[in-house]
Amino acid sequence: MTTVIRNGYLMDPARQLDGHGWVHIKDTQIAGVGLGEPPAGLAADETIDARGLVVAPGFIDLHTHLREPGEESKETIESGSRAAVAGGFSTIVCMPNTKPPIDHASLVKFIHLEAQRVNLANVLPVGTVSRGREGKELADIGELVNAGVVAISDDGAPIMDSGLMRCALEYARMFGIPVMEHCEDLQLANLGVMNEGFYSTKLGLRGAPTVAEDVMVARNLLLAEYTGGRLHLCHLSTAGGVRMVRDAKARGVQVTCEVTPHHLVLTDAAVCDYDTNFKMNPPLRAEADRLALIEGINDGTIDAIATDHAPHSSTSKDVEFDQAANGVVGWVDCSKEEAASWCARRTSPWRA
Amino acid sequence: MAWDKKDLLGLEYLSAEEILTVLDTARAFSEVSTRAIKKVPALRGKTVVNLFYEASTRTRASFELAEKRLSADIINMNVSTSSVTKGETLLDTVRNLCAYKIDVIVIRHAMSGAPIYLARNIECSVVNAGDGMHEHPTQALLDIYTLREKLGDLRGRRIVIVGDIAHSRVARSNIWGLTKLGAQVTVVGPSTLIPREIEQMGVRVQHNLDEALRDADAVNMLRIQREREKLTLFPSLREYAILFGLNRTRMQGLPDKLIVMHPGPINRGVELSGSVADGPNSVILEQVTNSLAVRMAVLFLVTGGTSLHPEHMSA
Repeated sequence: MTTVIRNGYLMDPARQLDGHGWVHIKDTQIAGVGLGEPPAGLAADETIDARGLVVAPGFIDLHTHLREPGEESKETIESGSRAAVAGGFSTIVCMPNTKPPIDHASLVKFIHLEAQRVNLANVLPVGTVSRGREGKELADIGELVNAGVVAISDDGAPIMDSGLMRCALEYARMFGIPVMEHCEDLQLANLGVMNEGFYSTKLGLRGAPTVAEDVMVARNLLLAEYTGGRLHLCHLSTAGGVRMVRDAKARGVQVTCEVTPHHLVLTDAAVCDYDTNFKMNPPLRAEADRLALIEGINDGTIDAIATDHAPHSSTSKDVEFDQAANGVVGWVDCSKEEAASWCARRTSPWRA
Repeated sequence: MAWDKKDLLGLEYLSAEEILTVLDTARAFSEVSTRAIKKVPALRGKTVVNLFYEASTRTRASFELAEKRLSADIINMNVSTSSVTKGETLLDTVRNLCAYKIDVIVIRHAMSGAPIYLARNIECSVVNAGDGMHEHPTQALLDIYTLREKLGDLRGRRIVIVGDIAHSRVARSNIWGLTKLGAQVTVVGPSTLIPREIEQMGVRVQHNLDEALRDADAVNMLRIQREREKLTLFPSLREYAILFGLNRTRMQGLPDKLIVMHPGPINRGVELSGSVADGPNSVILEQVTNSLAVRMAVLFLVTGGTSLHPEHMSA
């Protein structure tokens, strides 16, 4: 069985392809790609006309929540893989804030076995930094690495103990894996349920200030610089964070960072009628922050767009705003028509 | 007469004309409470549920009396002993009440936005009796009603709101209502209790009470609500009273006609000294009396009352 995709717009940074071209598929393998028209005489059982479409290798999502084990009513490795593939993601990195958290090698093996059984996407697990994700003592990080985790993170639970964070960066350095950190000073965040600013003032909702994120970004950059460990900052959402990462990179600090699609296209104004779909952590920020994130993408300060795919059941979301769970879906297993109609309603988010 | 809303969720969502409609309707109802038989049939056959998720004495008593004087049938839900403690969601509780074919839910809730969330999901009328730190529209309407009784048209009038603005739903509703009617509003309080970017709501911010009151027409002294604060936002009640409390000494330097208001309950000796609370400038008990007429007007309007006919008002 051979297939040729033609007339599509090829985007593959790894092969430096950026233009109209063709893809030749033999059974389940890519047999050839190139710009322009396919070579004369290229035989194919099936031809797909991709005019007007982008043809790209499977996307990688650095930050996702598959909820299994523990919260299978929200998502499973199987349903998550299905949604990821439907959205064009072939490799997904899943965060360890499951119940129980992925703080032990046996749990990593479970994820691998389940992902193999489902056999849709490459699922790369992240292990916890701390045992039980409690922020008190290091998890068995070496064993987690041997079992196949690609990074460690207590995502969702910032590591408030600076001493533990220092140890995590130093210890993980031995294995060459990054510490992926959710930056939030919990005291400054003060149980905020949205960004602190005009809208939190108007709505009477407790605000989490940008500075709650910024002081932790600053601390983590200082610790990464001091220890030489690899730091990855999750879902950066503030102008201050982008500025500090830009400066740190210029100094040679080993730091990478990601931003979510929702922080690039939405602001805290979206919360205006207490719609819990717009409740997430970090919260949607002000317009100046959104523009700074776009600038960070355009100048290379931000390394990746990651969805922070965080599905919840309606019982967690169809409640008072204060009580609603944080998080929004990143991928949807939907029809092409639905997706096209969503896209048509948005202008390009990448323009400031 | 301008009113086509099924709910009263906040003054942010009303036009100046709609606010004046409530106030005019309230003026018509104010006479009822002076009668020998304090009852009219305006809401006869309507059912009102008072659903209070937060402790309240005066707001609840005022709503209940307003409902009774309008001849509504009422239920008071004592939430601490209801199914809420069994883990039922707010929406389930309210949908069950709606299944009794009720007409109005008056809700007090500790979470901002809860009445808006309900109004989106149910058909009966929702009246916000205070939601978290968001709005307390009937309180602001009765404050504004009282101010208009004293000052007439509020355009250009200087109104000062003092206290914990950050955690106050009374402040937010007053700011929306007063600014829509053309008053100049100044908020005063410790800088830790003034929420960020509140100037965008159309107010000035001051931290010196004497300066703010120098040319004021009225001052609304908010209650210090220590129970709402999760941080130590000011050093002590003693220091608060010195900097932001209204007492006899401070009153001596202020305009004679300054109207002093308070939404209650008063912390005597903190935001108001006893001599000021009970003194000649205070309209605090008039506010309480006016609350009945204002709440009667709101209940009448949200249940579809358009204009008052003699039969609504017959004894």
